Amino acid sequence: MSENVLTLDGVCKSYSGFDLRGVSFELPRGYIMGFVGPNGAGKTTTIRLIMDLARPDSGRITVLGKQMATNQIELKRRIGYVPENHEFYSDMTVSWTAQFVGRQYPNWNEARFGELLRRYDVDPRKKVGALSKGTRAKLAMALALAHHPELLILDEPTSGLDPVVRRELLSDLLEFVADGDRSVLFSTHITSDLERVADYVTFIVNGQVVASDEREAMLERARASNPTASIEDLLWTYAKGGR
Amino acid sequence: MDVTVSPNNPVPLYEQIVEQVRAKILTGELKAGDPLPSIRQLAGQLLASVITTKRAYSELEAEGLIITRTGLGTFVADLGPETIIKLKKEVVMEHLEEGVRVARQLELANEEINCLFRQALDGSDERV
Repeated sequence: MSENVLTLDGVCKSYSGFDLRGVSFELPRGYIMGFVGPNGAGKTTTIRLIMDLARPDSGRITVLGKQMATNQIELKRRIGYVPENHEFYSDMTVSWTAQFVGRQYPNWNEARFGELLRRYDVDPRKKVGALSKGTRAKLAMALALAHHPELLILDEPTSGLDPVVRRELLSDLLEFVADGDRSVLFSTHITSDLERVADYVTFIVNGQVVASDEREAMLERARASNPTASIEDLLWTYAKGGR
Repeated sequence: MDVTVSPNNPVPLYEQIVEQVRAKILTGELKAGDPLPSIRQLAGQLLASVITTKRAYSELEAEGLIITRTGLGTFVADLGPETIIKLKKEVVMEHLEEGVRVARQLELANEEINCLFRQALDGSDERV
């Protein structure tokens, strides 16, 4: 039943001036995990390692039951990945971009993409460079969803979005997991994103995972000493070196 | 089902769901045998996590207010009028006890607490 779609076990990576030290956490199928930490804590590095855009020095990463390094093409087709900075060709139109991305996915569903564009109010004839930041984020979501992925990995999807678009996006994440088969990992430094939709929260501070658990369970424990404890309070405590 | 939750409310999200669904059942807005949305449906509707919604349903089930039939869904339990009155009183008593606790903390005498209770009763008309 509770099979994990993502398992990180003691993942380490050293860059000059930054170390990811023994990162471990698990995401069960059918749920949403928020990956939260201050800027520079190692969220993007961890996600890049999961996506095999960099290789860990040690440790093990299992995605949808397999090793990314040896099943890259198959796994990437089953993942919807939205990087922090959407790398689009700004002179090309939305439709062109969709064709370009769609070719890489046998599961690409043009009708579904069109439906998402209408829902997000994105004009397919516009050049990507002419879109606002919020609209570009919606386009990135539509591109990630149109090939029916089993796992969505989003790096800071809400950063820079206005509250209305942010809420729409969170609501889309819940809709995505509604059938119980699909899962989401999303990183953020905006803790209020997690207060509603995250089933699990993993806190990363200074390259280390300081806590990873069901959000409700963590809050319940914190409420014993602070009856109104929030995710933000927990992050503050962890960032200041507390437990 | 018309339920709303807010993370800005200091009451935990799952408890906000429990309180509202419980009120709907106790006031008869939801009747015995009425179907409730599935956990994942309600989560999407409330913009609340699946585990939060699951926890609210477990709580309501533990209180005997709803029943889950495997494969069929979740339904309002058949409580009977006496149980409903008893549960209503329990809910109100919990709040009154909290009021008394605060009054004691502030060292008010029983007389004064009594007065305050009557004032509260008079001050609030039938409006809820």
